Amino acid sequence: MHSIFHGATRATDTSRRQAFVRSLLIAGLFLASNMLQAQDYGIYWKYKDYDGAVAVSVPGWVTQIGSVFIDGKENRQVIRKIRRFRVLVFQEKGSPITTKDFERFNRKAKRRHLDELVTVRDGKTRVQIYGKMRRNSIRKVVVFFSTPDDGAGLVSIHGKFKIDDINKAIKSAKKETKKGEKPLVPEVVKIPVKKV
Amino acid sequence: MKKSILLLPLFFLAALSNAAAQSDGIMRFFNQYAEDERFTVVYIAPKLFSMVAKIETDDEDWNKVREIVKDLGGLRVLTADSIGDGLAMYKDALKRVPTSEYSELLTVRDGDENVRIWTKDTNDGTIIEELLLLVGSANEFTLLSFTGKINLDKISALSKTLDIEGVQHLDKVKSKTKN
Repeated sequence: MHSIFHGATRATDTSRRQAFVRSLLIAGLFLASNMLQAQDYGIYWKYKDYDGAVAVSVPGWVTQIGSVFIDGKENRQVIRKIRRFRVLVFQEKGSPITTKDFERFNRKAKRRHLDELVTVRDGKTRVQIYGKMRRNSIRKVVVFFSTPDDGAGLVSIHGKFKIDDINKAIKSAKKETKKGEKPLVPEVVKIPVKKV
Repeated sequence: MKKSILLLPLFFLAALSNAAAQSDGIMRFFNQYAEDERFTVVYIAPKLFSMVAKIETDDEDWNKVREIVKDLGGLRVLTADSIGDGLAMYKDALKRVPTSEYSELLTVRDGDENVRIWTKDTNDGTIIEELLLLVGSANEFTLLSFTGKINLDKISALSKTLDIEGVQHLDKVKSKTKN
């Protein structure tokens, strides 16, 4: 009698464990898919195979290797902080990204503290920049652009760029500028509305 | 007596919605033309200003800009330089400015060009929390709104920094404050 009960308990234990492992797997898959979509909230994955789209996704380890070829220690340090870099460009037929996609993106962005930083629209040209900042470092930058001549698309960069690192890179860029040369960093940042 | 008590919350609700409608008048005007291709639209969020304020360089001009933008909340610009009905738009925008909330800082009329600048102060009047600039002529129209803690002397320096049509009129603020 005791052994029957014992066997039954063992069976329930195994099925419980299986159910636990299954739910863990499902949760893991869900989290992984969310992480894949998190950078631009699914727009890249939705349109990367679209006819005429050029989609590039560069993982962090590639930028780490690529940083070797970058001049300047400070610039290399900034490049090494990139965890993922994605570009999606529609060159010929214009952007297929719908208003609904943008609305969904904006909703998700607001929820996840990705703030709209700059919006410039001049005629049919539009540039929108979103950024996420946490503890004195920029975690994410997403840029949407749409021009009548040069196509449309998005660029998203995910990483951990400390303000100090950016300061150092700017300072070194200014030092590298020789006399009489056009400075790498403009003397005063201007918002070139008419040149977008 | 009971009736008047019941009506009290309604009265407050009406007053609140009226106040909100007043301050939203200019925002609605901005949104109305935000997608109009004749206009150039610029929006800079407060977060960007705070990010810019954290970037340090040895450049004096940059440090001046940092000093100005560190207290700024946000910037909205709606501008057009080749529209036929600039004056009509100017008059329409003028009607929507809630004059009870803003105090007029400057008015200039030079030929067919009209420039008006309003400010919105805090309750004690010590800090300017919004600056509204309106420019209208036959072919041009500009609506600019700065929010945040605004220093009038410093804001005029932005006229040289921002390469946006109509911003050059901010320089007039300096001359006004000196008088």
